[in-house]
Amino acid sequence: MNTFVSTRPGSKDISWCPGCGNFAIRNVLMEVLADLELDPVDVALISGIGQAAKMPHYIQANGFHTLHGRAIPIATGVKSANPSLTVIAEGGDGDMYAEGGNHFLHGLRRNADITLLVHNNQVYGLTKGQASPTTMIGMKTPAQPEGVFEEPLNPLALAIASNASFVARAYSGQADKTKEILRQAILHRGFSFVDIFQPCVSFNKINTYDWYEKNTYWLKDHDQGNREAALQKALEAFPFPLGIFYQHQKKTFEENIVAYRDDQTPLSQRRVNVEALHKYL
Amino acid sequence: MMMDMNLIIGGEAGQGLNTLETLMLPVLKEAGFHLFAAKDIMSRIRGGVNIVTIRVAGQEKNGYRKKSDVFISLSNEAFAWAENRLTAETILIGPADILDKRGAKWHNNRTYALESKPQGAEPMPINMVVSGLISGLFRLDFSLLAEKTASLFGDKGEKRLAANQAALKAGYFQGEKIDGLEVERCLDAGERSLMNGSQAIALGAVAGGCNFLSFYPMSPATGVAIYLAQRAGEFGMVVEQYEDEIAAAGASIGAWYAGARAMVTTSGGGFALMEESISLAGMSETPMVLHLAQRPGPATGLPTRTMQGDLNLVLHAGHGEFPRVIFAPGTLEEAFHLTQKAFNLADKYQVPVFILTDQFFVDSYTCLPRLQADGSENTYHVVATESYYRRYELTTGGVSPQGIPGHGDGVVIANGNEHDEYGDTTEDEQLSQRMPEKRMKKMEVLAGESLVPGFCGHKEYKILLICWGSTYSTAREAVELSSRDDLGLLHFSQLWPLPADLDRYFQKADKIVVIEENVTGQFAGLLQQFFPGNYFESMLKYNGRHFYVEEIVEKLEAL
Repeated sequence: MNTFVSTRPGSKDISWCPGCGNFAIRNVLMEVLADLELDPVDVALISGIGQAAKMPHYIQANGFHTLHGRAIPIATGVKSANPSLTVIAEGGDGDMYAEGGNHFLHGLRRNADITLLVHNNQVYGLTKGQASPTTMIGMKTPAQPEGVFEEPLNPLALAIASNASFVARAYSGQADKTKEILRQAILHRGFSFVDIFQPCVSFNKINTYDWYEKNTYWLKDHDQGNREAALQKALEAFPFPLGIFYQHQKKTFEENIVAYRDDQTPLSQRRVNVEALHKYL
Repeated sequence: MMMDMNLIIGGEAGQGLNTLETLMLPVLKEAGFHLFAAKDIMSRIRGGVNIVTIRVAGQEKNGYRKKSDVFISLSNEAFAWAENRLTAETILIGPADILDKRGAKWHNNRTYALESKPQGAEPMPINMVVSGLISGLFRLDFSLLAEKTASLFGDKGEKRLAANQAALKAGYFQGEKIDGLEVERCLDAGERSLMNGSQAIALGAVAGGCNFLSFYPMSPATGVAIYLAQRAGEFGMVVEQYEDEIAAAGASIGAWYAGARAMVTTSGGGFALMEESISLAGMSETPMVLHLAQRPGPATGLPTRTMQGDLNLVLHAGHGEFPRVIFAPGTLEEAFHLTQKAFNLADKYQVPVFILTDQFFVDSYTCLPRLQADGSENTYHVVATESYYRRYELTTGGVSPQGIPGHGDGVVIANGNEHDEYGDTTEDEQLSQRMPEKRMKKMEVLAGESLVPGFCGHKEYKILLICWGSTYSTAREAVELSSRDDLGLLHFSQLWPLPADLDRYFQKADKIVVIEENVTGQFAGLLQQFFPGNYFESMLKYNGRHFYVEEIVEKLEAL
C-alpha cells in the first residue's frame, strides 16, 4: 500500500498546536488516500493560507501552498489541465468562506471534479484569534472586543441552495465517521464539499471538543438525494447535524470542456495543432 | 490614381458599423487593396458616436491618419465629432438632412446625399447601403460583395438577404457616380491575411502551444478570449470565463503547475486584481503569460479608448521582487511572434511574461503577409521527476528543472511561502537569502536575451525619437513624411529587461524625444533611470485617442 507519510525534512516540524484538530484531519486524509490505493504522484493538494492550509507540507503528495482564499480556482486549473489527477483543495473557514467566498460560490456552480475540505474551527488561527465568517454571535475576540454581531455564514445551506453535487459536514473529533465522509467525497464525481468542524485549542474557548460533542449529532435515515430535506437539515442548529446532507450526479466541469470531448490527453502532452492554426493564419 | 485614401465613417451605436466593417474589410482585401482600419467608439450599446477609419492603399500603410479623403456621416453627432478631421478636399457623404444641417461651413466641398429611404418603401439597412456605396466608390466587382454578404449573413434568412442585396445595390449605384477616388491595388490578396491585434495575439498564443485560457470580460481585452473560445475545440484548448480576474489568474497558475501552457487576457482594472497571483507566480516560480490591453485609467477611465498608461503597473506588478519580461509589439507580425515567444520564455525561465498592447492595437485591422509557424519553434522544458524531486533545487543559473504532478516518480511541492529546495516552508536564515538570489539570477540571463530595438530613419540623426508598442506605424510614417533629415526612430518591442548596450544610440543624438500615450512619460522615466547620462524629453498624448500621423509631423517640425 502506498504511504502518504512524508519524509521530507520540512515535514518534521509541524507548526500546529498540540491538540489541534488539524492532526486528526491529516491522519484521516492520509488513511483515506492510502485506502483508496491512490499513488501520491497522482494526488494534488492545493491549499490557501492559514493553519489548515499548511497541510501539503505534512503529507507525501503533490502540493501547492498558494494564496489566501485562492485555492479553489487554482485547484480547478490543475484539474482541468490534467483530469486524471485527484485534486483536493484545502483550507480553513477564513480562507474559504471570507477571502475565498466568491470562489467558493462559483466553485460550487462550476462543478469541477475536485474535493474541497474546509477545516472549520470558527475562528482565525494563524493571525491569532480574530472572528471568522462562522464565528458565533457574541464571541469576544481581540479584534471584536464588543463581541461578534454578524450573522454566521451557513456554508452547507449555501452549497445546497447552489445545487452543489456533494455537501457534507464532518467533525475532526470523530475520526471514523469523518474518514468515511472523506472517502465518499473523494470518490464522488463532481465538486464534493466537506465542512469539517474542528476545535481550535488556542483561540476558540467556546467551540471546544466538549462543545462539539454536545452540539452535534449524526444524521440518520436521511435521504441524501432530497435537496429540500437537505436544506432543512442544513438550517438546523444547536445541535448541528453531521453527515452527508446532499449528493447527486451532474456533468462535471471537465466533462463540459470541449477540448476533452474527443481527446483525453492532458494539456501537458498536447502540442500545437498546426492544421487548425494554419487555417487562420 | 490615388496612392491611398482615408475613409471615415461615423454613426451611432446600433447603426451597424461593426457589421459594415466585418463585411467590407475582407471585400476590400480580396479586391487587392492594402487596408488599415481603426475604431473610435463610445462605451455604449445604442446611440452616441462611433467612428471607423479605413485606410485603403496600394501599399502597406498602417499609420493612423487624421485627414479624411471621404467622410460618410450617418448622424449629426458623428459629423460634429469628426469635423476636425475634414479639409476643403474631403468628400462629404450622408443623408441629405445631415448634410444640410452641417453643410454651411463645407459648402465648397464635394457633397453627395445618401439615399436610403426610397419613397413608399421600407427604409433600407443603412450599413448595407454604405457598404454598397464604398464598393461603388472603388469600382469593385459587385459579385464579390454579393458573395461575401451571402457567406457572412446567409443564415439570417432569405428575406433579410434579399433586403441586404437590394440595399447594397442601391448603395453601389450611388457610389459609382462619384469619380476620382480610384486607388491603386497591390493585387496580392491571396498572399496576405486580414486580422486585428486581438487575433494576432490569440493566434500567436496558439502557435506558442497555449492550451488554456482563463479570463473575465473586460474591454478591450475580451476580443482575444472570444476568438479562442469560439475555436477552443479546434485548438484543443481549455477556455473558461471565471468569476473574476483573481480566479482567472489563479486558474492559470494552477494550469501551468499541472503542465498546461496558459494565458490570461485582461485590461488595467482586471490586471490590478491579478497582481497578487502574479506575485505568487514570482515566488512559486510558476510560468505565466498575461496579455494586458491598456485603456485609459485610473479606475474605469475610458473603457473603449486607448492609452499606454500601464507600463509602470506591469513593471512593478505584484508585491515583492522577482524577475519578469515585458513585450510591447508594434505590428501584428510582432504581436504574433512575441506572443508565441512569451510561452517559450515563460516555460524556460518559469517567470511571468507580459504582453502589453492597447485598445488601438487590438481593435485595429491590417493586411499582413501570411504568418509562418508550425510549432517546431517551440521548446518544452517539463522534466519527469525522480523520487525526492526538489522543485526548487539550487542551480547555477537559477532555473530548477520543472516537474509536474503525475509525471515521474516524485511529488511536486510548489509554495508561495519562502521555501527550501523541496518546496516546504522555511524561515532558515541561509535559505531566506539564497532563494531570492536564485530567483533574481534569472534576470541576468533574461537581460542577455533582450530584443534589440528596431531602428529606422536617417543613420546620421541628430534627433532620436523613441516609441514603444502600438505607436510604431504612426511614428514611423510621421518620420517618413517629415521634411526633416535629422530624425532617427527607435522602436522598443521589449520594455523589460532592457538591453544593456543602448547608449550607442543615445550618445549620437543631440536630443532624444520619447513618444508615448500617457500623462507622465513612463517609458522616458524608465530610460532616464537606467541611462542617466542622457536626457529624455517626452512627446505625449493622453486623451484616449491614438496619435495621428499629422500630429506627430507637426510636433517634429517644431522640435
